[in-house]
Amino acid sequence: MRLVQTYFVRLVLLVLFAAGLVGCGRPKEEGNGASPRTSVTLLHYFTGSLSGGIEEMAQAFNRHNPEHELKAVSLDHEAFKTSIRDTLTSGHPPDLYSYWAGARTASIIEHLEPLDDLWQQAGLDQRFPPALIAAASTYEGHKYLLPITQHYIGFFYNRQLFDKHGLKPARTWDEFLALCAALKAKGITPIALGARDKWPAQLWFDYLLLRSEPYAFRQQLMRGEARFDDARVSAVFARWKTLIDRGYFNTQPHPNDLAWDSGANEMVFRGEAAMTLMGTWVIGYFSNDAHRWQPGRDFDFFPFPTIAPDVPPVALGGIDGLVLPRRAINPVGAKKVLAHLADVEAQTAFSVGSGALAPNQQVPLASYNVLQKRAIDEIARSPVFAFNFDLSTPPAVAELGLNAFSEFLAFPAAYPQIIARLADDAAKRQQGASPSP
Amino acid sequence: MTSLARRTLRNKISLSFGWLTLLVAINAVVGITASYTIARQIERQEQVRNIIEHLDDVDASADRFIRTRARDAQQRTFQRLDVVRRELGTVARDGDRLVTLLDDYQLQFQKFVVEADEKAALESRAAALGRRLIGQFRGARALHLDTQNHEALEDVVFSHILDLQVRSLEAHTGVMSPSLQGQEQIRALLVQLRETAPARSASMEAERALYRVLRDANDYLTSFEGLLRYQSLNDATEKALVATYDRIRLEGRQIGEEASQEISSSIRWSITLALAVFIATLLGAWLLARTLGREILRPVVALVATTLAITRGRLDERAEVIADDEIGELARSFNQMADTIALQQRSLEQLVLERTRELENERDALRERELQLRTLSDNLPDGMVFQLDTGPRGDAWRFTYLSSGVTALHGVSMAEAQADAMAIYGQVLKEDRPLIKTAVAAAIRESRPIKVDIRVRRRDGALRWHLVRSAPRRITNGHLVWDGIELDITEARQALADYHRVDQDYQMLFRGMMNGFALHEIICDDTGHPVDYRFLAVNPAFERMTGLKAQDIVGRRVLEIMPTTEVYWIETYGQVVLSGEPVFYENYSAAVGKFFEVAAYRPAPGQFACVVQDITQRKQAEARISDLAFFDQLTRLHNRASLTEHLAQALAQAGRNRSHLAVMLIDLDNFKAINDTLGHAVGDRLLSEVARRLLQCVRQSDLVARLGGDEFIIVLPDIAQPADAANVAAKVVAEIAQTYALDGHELRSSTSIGICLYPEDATEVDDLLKKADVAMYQAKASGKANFQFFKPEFQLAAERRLALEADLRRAIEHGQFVLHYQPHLDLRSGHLTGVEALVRWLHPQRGMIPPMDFIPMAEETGLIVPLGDWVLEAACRQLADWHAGGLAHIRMSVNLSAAQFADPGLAERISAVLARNGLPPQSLDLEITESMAMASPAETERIMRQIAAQGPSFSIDDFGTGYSSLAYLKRFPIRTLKIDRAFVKDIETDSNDADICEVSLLLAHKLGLEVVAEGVETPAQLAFLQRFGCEKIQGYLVSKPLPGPQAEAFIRHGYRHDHHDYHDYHHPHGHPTS
Repeated sequence: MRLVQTYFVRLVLLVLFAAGLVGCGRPKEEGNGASPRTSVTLLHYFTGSLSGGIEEMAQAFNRHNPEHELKAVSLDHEAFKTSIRDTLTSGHPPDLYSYWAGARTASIIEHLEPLDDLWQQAGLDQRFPPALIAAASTYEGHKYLLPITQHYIGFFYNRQLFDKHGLKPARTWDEFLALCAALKAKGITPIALGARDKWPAQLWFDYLLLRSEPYAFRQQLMRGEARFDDARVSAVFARWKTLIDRGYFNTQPHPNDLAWDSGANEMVFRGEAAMTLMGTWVIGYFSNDAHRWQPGRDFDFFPFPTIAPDVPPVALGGIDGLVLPRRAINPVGAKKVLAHLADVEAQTAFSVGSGALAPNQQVPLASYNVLQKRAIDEIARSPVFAFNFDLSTPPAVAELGLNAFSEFLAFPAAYPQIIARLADDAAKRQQGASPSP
Repeated sequence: MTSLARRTLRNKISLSFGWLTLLVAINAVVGITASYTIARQIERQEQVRNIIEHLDDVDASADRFIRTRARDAQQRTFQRLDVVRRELGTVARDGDRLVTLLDDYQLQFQKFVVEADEKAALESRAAALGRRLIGQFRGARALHLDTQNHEALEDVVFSHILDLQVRSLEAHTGVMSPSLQGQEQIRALLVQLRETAPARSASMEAERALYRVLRDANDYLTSFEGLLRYQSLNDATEKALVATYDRIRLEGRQIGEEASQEISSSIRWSITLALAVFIATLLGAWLLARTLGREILRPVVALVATTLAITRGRLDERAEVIADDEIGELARSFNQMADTIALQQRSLEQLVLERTRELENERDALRERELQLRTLSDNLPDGMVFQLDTGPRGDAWRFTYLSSGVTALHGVSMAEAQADAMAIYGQVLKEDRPLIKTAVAAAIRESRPIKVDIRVRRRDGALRWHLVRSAPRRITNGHLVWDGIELDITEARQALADYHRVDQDYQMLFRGMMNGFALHEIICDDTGHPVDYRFLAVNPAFERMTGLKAQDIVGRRVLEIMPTTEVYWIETYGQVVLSGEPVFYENYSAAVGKFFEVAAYRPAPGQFACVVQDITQRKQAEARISDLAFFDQLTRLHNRASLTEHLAQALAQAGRNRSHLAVMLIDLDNFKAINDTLGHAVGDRLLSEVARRLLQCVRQSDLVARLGGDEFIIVLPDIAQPADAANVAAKVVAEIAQTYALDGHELRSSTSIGICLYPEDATEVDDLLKKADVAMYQAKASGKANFQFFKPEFQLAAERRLALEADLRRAIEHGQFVLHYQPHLDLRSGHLTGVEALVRWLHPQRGMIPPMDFIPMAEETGLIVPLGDWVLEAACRQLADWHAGGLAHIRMSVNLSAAQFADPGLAERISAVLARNGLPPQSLDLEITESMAMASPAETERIMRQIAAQGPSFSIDDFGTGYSSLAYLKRFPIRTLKIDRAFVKDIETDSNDADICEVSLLLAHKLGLEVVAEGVETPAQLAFLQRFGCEKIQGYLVSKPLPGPQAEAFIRHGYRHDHHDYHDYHHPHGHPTS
């Protein structure tokens, strides 16, 4: 019987061998080792002067991750505001979007995948300042947005003009008024405001409010818990109006007819106006080949002056980040990408490429220019980082506000009626909007 | 099958059945597997077809969405994309490439959808704003706008915005694409309205209502701009989409083809395998049947045969045990029985035999080994093997073994050496013996072998180097025995010495050679492509040439030393190393400013050497030669050859461009005089300065060349009109006329310029130059220091002049010249005191030719020198006649030309002529013109003094026509100033001329000179001159120039003469010179 058994074993082996032969007959079966590379798709709005580095970042990621390929495609940023919502719900979104932190992200989180696990694994709490995480990444207790760039709003001024007339940046409101008066006396328009695209006017509203009232009130206002015809809001407009009445803003052309870049920036560049309230993205504008201004020498910035001494300083600006749609095809790869982009290296590269500040606090200061360094200091000095008006209110309310600011610039005296109507319209729209963070 | 032999019969039978079953089973398995494979492949083929269909579907639905914006088309596109992705994962091997492309496509499509949505949103927003605007406008009557603003608003809203909206609708239906040409205009209108309207409107409310209308209009425009922007973005994305899909289709097709190839090859394989297994099974079954039959039958037959043999008494016969079965067992029993009987007896015999054979073998082996050893040691070439017993204390030497090499090594027989070891040791040079002793002592002390090189004086007297290696050991009787080997290494030592010498020579050559030498090793990447090279050695010449120091570069890579080294060089050297073909090239190193000639070759595999020669000097010489060939070395201007070349090019270009060109020939008027009087060095300096000034007069694009001597050419390519050339020429004339300060000489010069135009005057280089030359002559003829354009009639004049020139040469040979004499009248005494000799040419055909028609030509051609000598000689002869005839008070004035004046032998010739004719030197007066005298006053003074020292006096002729330096006038040893006829002529009518005469007279008297006024024709002139104290006059008033006999008669008899006999009367103003 043992003989029969051994022969049976051999027989089985022979059969297996034959089967193996048959198997080999199919040339090169799909077991070729490496698993196929999957794509991670990214739609983003980093175009023009702010696009620096996104392609390189994608390439860097692809070099280090053989199993994923990041495909980044740019899309005009206006399309992100409304039309993008259809792709979120259509069931075929890309794996990642760039998006504005704040109310805009808040308005789409029901379609987003929380990033809490990634946050845990990659230790992102150590990478980003807690205030920034709270403001930009956290919505309804979960992490949804990975911050990529950060911008800060301040007064950018023609340094040579200031030096020539022996003028110094203002720290308090009184100093600011004196500064404007001195400039005006010299025949220079103190402040250039280019509000043709509406949004630049909101920066004035934001800072005037943030410097005169505690941040909590602004939050209430943004969430619709306070009304726009509140006396404290009214006071902001009154203060703003005094600047207009004294002729500190440009009148010819009118702010509503002036573009922020080719208009207001150029007035400052030419020395016709002394300063403009704008974001750190103008550093790139003034340093480009057409202007070749050197930061700190030809132009500089100072923070919006103190109005009420007891109100702690709040830094204003915007943060861009990436979000992961719930219906993404490749969430695993997308999270790999996010982890990569949270790294010091990637954030530094993007900051250098786009001129923005890097949210990652481990990014070495050496990679910044002198103005960026000071902006970092200002942000660090301010206990709160607040988003612009249109990034802090639901988009529907933001539109009303921007229209109201524009109308105010045209009819400063009519502000009581303008804010009364704004308060009513905003209250109606707030009810339909999702709350901001 | 051998294993089968050990089985029992029963087992064999069941095994056979087992095998058969197995074969059937294998067939079944292979058959099933092959069928399964084929079925799977067919299914796969179906899937691939499906994928390609789905891909087409993706494209079709995407296309439908692009055209119609239908939502279902968009959904379908995404769904199909998902389906294809899933299917690809299961079917295609290289599917991930396609998946990546599909992801690209999906992303682009997403972008397209979003952009399309945004565009649609903007469209509807613009439309809504448009509607609202029109509504507001209709209700704007309440705004109480004044008529002007109302009309303006109407213009904005209706004309422009409605127009935009209509165009946008048309674009939507594909009629035309919208554009925004008017957009900036509308914006400007809006701004204007916003600024002007409020001031005129009635109420705040109306103002704000108007603001909202304008704001909406503005927003409308913004939306519309956005719409257009998105239209173009959308178009771009669509293009990207189409491009991506093209790649997908290509990839899909490729995958389809690859898959169908795989599938058909799989099926082929399966069928082939199944067939092969089936045939193998048949073969196996047949083999099994055959083996079984043999295994069972053959042992039985064999056993029967053995049994029969044993029965017949052949006890050594054995049964063959073929199988391990029952029959095999039987056969084995038979065999055992037979074996037992013979075994013991046989084994004893065997033992003795074997032992004997072993002993013999051992002996033979021993002998053989000894022979081997001996042969081995005897055959050692140039050496010997020895064993030396040195006794118990090491002092009693005896060779216990020696190989035959001892004879060759020492010239001593083996027996002799064995008898006396000292016969060997004694040959070692005394100087080397201590070496051996020291080595031996050390070897014993440290019990290690010795190794010494020693010199041996062989018995035949030859001195040889030997190497001795030996190891000591103590043997049982306490003696010290040395086993060793001794080798003749003379040749090796010699070779080593030779090698050192060659190496030294090589080092000397390497270090001393004039050419730079560098050896390199090429460095390649993994693919063998040369990427760098390393310096292995460089010689001092290389260091000198390149400035690179060996210690800095040897062992280092070139990209390390010179990171900017071009890849081209590395590849070139790589090619040299690869192919072994040397390359030669010349190279300029900007770093050291030198030219090198380099030969790179391959001295050894993987290496290349460069022999570098510094050819900087040769290069410079070449450049110098080319410079010499094309540039005038004195002035650095282009020379004639270069001019011809450049002018030809300029003409070709002018011909192509149909432009005009001017060629100017510039000739210095008095260069010869300057060169002759001041020498070549000054002449050369003047030419250089003239060249510099010419360059200042022209543009960069104009060409200035020196034709030779004092002739220059300016080529003005591309002139608009002849006046351009005239301007340049005027500038040149003015510039050249400026004073020159050269070597302390203050010189003046002037120039005559001939201008010839292309294509009007000539079209060929030679022709142009010739005609410029003709024009230049004309300029000279018309008073110098001017310029002339070529005219055809000049050509005729030139030809005539050429003919005349030939005649002039002949005239000198044939003595066609005569002298006429014009008397001087001394106003103080009223006597004739002298005559001026004036030359006339009696042309055989043309009759009497006046001096001004041939003297300049004679000056140019140099004929003036023989002519001047003839004049001097003839005049002196005449004077001698007169002196002999009693007119001893008459003095003779002879004109000297510049060429004569510059002749260093002039003084001697004059004294010789005077002596020959027996004349007192004081009777000769030599006239030189003012401009000749002032061309180089210092030199003039020197020559004058030299001649005046011998007796002749000097006069300055043509005074007033040139520039005179008073200081020099004062220093010159002159006796007379001759006021030019030009001033005398108008002395009565032109106050300027009168002034000049007056001042000249005053000046001459101040300097203590006497004055001769030339060309005095009227009594009034005479009166004027007399009033200012003029000493002498010469002119028609006294007498015209007269032939010798008439002159003599005139001197003797006064004014009674018939002037009309002489042909030169018609030319009263002819300039008498020479």
